[in-house]
Amino acid sequence: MEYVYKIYPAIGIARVGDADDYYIGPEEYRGLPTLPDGKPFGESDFRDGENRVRRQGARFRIFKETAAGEFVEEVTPGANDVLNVEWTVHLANKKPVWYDFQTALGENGYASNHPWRNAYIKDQDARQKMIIDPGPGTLNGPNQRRDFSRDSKTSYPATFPPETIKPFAINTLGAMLTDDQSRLIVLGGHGSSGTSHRSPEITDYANNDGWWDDTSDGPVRAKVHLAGGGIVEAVPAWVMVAPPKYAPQVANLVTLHDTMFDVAVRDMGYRKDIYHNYAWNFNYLPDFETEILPILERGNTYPWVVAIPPKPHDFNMALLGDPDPKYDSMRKYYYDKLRAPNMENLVKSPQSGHTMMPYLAGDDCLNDALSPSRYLTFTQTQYFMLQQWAEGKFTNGKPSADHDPGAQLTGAVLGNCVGGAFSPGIEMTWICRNTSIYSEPFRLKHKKHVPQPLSLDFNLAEGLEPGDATKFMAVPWQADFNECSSQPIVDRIVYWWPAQRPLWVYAAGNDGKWKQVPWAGIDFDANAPDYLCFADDIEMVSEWKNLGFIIESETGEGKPKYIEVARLLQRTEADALKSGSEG
Amino acid sequence: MLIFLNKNDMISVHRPALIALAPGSIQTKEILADKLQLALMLEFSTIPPYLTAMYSMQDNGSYAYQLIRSVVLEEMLHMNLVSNLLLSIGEKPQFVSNKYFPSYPTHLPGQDAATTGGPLLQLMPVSIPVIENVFMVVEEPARRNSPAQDINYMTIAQFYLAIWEGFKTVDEKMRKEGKHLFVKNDLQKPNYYFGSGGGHPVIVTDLKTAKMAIDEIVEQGEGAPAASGAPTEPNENFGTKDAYAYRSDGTYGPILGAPSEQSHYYKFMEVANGNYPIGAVYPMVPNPTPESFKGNAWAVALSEIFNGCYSIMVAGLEKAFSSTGPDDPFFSVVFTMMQSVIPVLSVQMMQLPLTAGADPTVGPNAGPTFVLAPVGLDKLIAKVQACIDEPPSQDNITGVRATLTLVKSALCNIQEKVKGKNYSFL
Repeated sequence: MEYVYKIYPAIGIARVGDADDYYIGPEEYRGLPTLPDGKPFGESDFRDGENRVRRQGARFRIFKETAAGEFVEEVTPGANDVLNVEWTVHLANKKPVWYDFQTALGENGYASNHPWRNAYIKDQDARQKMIIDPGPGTLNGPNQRRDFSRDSKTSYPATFPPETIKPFAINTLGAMLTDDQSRLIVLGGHGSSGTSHRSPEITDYANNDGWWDDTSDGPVRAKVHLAGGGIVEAVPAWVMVAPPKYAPQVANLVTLHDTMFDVAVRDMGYRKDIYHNYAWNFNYLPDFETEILPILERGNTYPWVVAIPPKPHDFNMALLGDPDPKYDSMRKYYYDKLRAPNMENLVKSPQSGHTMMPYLAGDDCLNDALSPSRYLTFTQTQYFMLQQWAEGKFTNGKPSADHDPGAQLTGAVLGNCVGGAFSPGIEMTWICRNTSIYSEPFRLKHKKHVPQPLSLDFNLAEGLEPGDATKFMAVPWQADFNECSSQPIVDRIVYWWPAQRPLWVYAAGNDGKWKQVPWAGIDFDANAPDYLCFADDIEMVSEWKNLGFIIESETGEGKPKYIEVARLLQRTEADALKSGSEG
Repeated sequence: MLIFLNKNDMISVHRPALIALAPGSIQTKEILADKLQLALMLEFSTIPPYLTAMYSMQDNGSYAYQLIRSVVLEEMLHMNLVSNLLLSIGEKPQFVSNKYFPSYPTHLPGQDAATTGGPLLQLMPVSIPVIENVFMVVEEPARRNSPAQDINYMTIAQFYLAIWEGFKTVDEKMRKEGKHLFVKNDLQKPNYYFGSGGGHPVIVTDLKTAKMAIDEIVEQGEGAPAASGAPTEPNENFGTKDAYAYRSDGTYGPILGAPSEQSHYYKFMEVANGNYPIGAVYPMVPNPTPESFKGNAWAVALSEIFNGCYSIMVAGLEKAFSSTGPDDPFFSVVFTMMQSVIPVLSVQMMQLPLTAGADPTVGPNAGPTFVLAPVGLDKLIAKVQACIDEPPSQDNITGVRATLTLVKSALCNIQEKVKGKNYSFL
């Protein structure tokens, strides 16, 4: 029988941390990370012994599947005819040499007058030297480590930013290691960002010439050495290094999995039972438990990371999960409040005048675009499922479909990432909506022959090379991360990515009482520069590592369900004053 | 005439002060039950006038509209709370069969205009005087230490104070006789009230929970008693928390960390003060009656349909509070009427001139009359279908037909859902 070897997850997510130490990123949707030794993760594990933020490692495994795609087993060297696994990873950061990020501009190709980052550097060689590229690394066998650092010994012509950049030098993009089972763990950078300018200054949320950060992305490949002497190339994966996710157990209303699933459904024939030949299948019955409930739960969980009223977000799941037609009107009541994909500029329901959900910023609300996209909407596929649900066309508790561990792992990892709004986003931006970056659903297309040095353009027909997935993102990421908290749109203030970047959190005050306080900023005056963020983006460049993480609390009387832990940054007196007024 | 007692009584200028009647007359369970049925209609009777005012506002997205809407939602919660109080003592909440059922114009049930000068509830398009002189008076806070009043009450809070004292008195009396005031049943409704309104339903099982339910009604209406001794306090403790509103800096967003939200009285005051513009209003005739629609056949037909639907909705409510499980018609009948029928029909009627052919932007136009006139579901559907097939008037055919099509689809939906239930109220 012919077998296929595939790396999972198809896309792994590492996250920066200033510590050398690491944990394994969550492999469950809304799950906590895990510790490398397998011990349960607690609130003290976000930081190392010196209170530095641990890096989140992206763990990869190889699954053996039948030609039809059925899971057989996880590949373990020394068992089932597998002798050894040889991993290759190549991280790079191309942010300084790509185009400016200007909200939606570029999603359908860039205009000829679209500005480049660091445009004053015209020389191609000089531009290529601005790419952070430590070169590929290969590990053979268990318990190995290879760093992607300036001082790593390699024959590859590695390029790093000048050693003198401030406030933080970038000497590594991370490392790759294997565990005792020969699984791969990829670590990212330390969250170091710096500029070659004499006095570090950040002037824009996304585009800052002369700046670098140490996020990155790149291919993950593996060769499986079989006992019979053969070597099989596993179907490759991709790794992206992103900012921390501060509320690991809170999911975004639209996750990166939702967005990639939508692309796969509508453009790649992934689920012909849902959508085929441009037609939705209205006989498709979504399952409440797996396809609807998670969406409602996201709305239900947001009040722990942003100050939205909890009561309207408190849903009677038992009634809403009952397909009995007598609850049609109740389901419709909620459905009517949901913003359809083609209603991206509506904030009030035309039927009822109610504020429409999600109350979150959209892809293109920053520019005075002629056709803006002000508010976040559901994906087409999500909205289709919700539409079926509202009409009572759904099941509840149908036996779970064939258990596919590979798809489940990919879904969990991407389910913890942001799938919109892409302005630019946290892990990835709108390029994930472009079918041509995929070789198959959820799997990025690898460029066969990665050039040396890496290219300055983007050949979608050939595939992606290291750095191509994240080069659109803000540089440094801390600028966007600081600013993208709340967003005034017309006469309202909406929010960006509360699950990744919290706005308000519950923390214990000096009097021991739990209070809802701003995560960063003062929150006094919505027009103040430090409303829900630092007054200057550059503060985030050093303070991100001192902010707290939000974790599900052990339920106790009067204790909020999700609380802030592991915070080093002191709250100011003004914060305390404000929070003191809460009853 | 307004009487100013002293500076601190500025808030109570809407009507003359009167000497309270002797409290403590709720001595038996029968009287308590009767007063609770009255309370149920007291809550109920505010809804049609509030709804009429709300539907008359053309911009349903305006802040003023949404403020009034939040008040209406909470009045519905209050009906739920009073029903739970009734059920807790083994009584069935009465709606269609309630002897205090309102027909408009009317005074609040139990208020005698001659002695209290209480507000006259009318079906009127919204205006600042209506809000100020009627709605705010309905929701007017009691002065501190006001006595309980179980009849001819000056404020709703004083009436509820009498009910609370009645609960205590009757409970104590019955205990002495070795009986129990509170009875266990599963008819109280914890799940009817959801969405964006403030507060939450209370399941009443004893004096403590009865007090919680009563406090919630009073505080949402008039505001929580002020610790400072101020005559009124705009906040209530049962809000959604972190409510959205315009803030002191002029931006719209969450009022962070607010443990409470604004009372009905305060919300109405905000609109009356002009802080939130009412905007364009449909020129509905005051206190419309089915007879006043003779000049427009569409209005006659729609009024019949509206009242038929209203009758089913109110009868459905009575049935809902006396049934459980699959027999409970709340979600299948009542909620569908509230969501998909009453609003579209009301707004449609407000766009129909009383004289066919007149300019509906000039008016006067028709409006919902909120009269109990049961037709029966099947006949109602036939009537709607007949109006679609053979329009009684050629005016505005496209618009009214579209509305009737929506209504028909909602009614057929109900018909489908109640198949095999043999509901007598349909």
